[in-house]
Amino acid sequence: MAGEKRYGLFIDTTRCTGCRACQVACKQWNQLPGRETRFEGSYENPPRLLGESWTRVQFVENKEGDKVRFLFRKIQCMHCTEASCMAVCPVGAIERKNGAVVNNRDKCIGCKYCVMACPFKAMQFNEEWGTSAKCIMCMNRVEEGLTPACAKACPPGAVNFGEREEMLALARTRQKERQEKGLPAYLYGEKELGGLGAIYLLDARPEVYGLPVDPRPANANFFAKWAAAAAAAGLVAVAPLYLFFRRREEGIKQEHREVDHHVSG
Amino acid sequence: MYPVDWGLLVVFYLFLAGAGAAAYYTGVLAETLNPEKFRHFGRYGSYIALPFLGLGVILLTLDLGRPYLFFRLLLHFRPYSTMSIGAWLLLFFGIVMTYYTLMQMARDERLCSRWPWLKAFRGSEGWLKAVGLVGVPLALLVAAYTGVLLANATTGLWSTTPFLGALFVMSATSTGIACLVLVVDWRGEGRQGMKELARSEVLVLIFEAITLGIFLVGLGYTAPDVLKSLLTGPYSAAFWLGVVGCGLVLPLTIELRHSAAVAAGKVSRAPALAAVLTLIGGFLLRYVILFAGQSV
Repeated sequence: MAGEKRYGLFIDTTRCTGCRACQVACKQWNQLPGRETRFEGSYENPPRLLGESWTRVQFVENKEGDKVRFLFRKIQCMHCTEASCMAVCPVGAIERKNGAVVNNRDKCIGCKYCVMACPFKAMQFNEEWGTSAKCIMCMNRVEEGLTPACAKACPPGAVNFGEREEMLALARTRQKERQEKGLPAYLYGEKELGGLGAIYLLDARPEVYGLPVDPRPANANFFAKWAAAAAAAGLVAVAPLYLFFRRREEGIKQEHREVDHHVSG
Repeated sequence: MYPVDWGLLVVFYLFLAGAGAAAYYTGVLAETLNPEKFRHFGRYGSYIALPFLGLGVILLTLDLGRPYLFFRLLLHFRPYSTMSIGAWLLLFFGIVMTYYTLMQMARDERLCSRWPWLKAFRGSEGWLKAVGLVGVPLALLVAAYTGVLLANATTGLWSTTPFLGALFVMSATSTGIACLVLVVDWRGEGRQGMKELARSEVLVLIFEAITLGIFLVGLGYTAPDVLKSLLTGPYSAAFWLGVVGCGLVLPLTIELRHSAAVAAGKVSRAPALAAVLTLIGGFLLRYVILFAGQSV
């Protein structure tokens, strides 16, 4: 391959019809098994990303005045520039490839720290494999000149794939078009966490979709967190021990020495 | 409906690692600072730390999706991965602590006659002390990293304040001292040092209560909904009754009410009772933080 590219996804939620073709295409290409789920009060299925479901369409029933609007959003790994999973992985099993955050299953030991660290709950644990698992932007397709399975399958063109700069430009154009018509249009992913590899055009404010307004990487305040713990460690090492243990009671020293001698002998 | 990703095995590990490391540094420091009064405390501490850490590391390994690949943790050092830091701390502390424990065992004639190979670990008083002290900062860091590990995630309860590591250090210390109290209560020669242990336990429990208060206030500022779900949600009973009631209020009340009797050198089981309650509270703290954190 000639040089690293910086690819990205552009997901235009205003075009999404909630057909879930992306979910099926993802399962097929990645050979992921189905999983039985239960109805949980919403038509969305599965209700969250799983170790064997790397993408899903979120269904939001948003009350606006006395109207209810059905909003759809395809969810998958955001391919953050400041990727928390990559930072916390103790064995370096997560790498960046052509802009995508790719977890290497062969290197993964299954500690699940990345699952805890992901700000978008995109990284999930796959029980069958014993490793964490998520969308890898179909890098195994992209490297062969194909587009990711979800983008290929999407009938209304809500999922777009290309170089990130182009995707961002496309997102801005679409946003402008909608704004000119007086329709809601919010961009998400341009700046968040150093710029997400998945850029969204949203049909409502990010909060409505449950997206964090100001997502933080897992290692935010890394040194402050260590400093607080170290201060506590210093305190417990010094204060009680110094206060209580240092005090010598000379008068009974001899007596104890005898007791000790007797017992240990 | 979905299982938590870090479950009971991790709760047990966090508890055992914290209590074991704290029993070690408390015991070794006590004996170093006052060898007459706290004779054998280094031994008690290391005898607690070895099985606790050993079992803890086994549980942690079993929690891996692929336990047989655990050694890969020691093929990498990644300074921004708190788990990588922890793995290396556990390795270094494990080596020092095991060596120290073997040296302590080698000083016990009974054990030496049963296992003659222990004699190979005999060393001078000064060398024993030096090895013990080398382990102290490592033990403190082990106790600290368990909290920092959780704080360096994106779970609201763990990461929106920087105080979880401090809280875990306090809790580790109170449970570590509680283990020492139980050993002294069971075996202690003339219950030597019990008075001081009980007093330091009171102080650490007060520190722990203050740290918990700071942690909760911090949460109130940064993530009020997370605080609300901790205080009133599905884990609120375990939090109030277990962590606050059993782990802080009851042991403090018992210790303070019986401090006069303990100070007078009377044989009192009050510190032991307080210690058992502290241990239950410390375990439940890990449980509540881990499960409530992942439920949101």
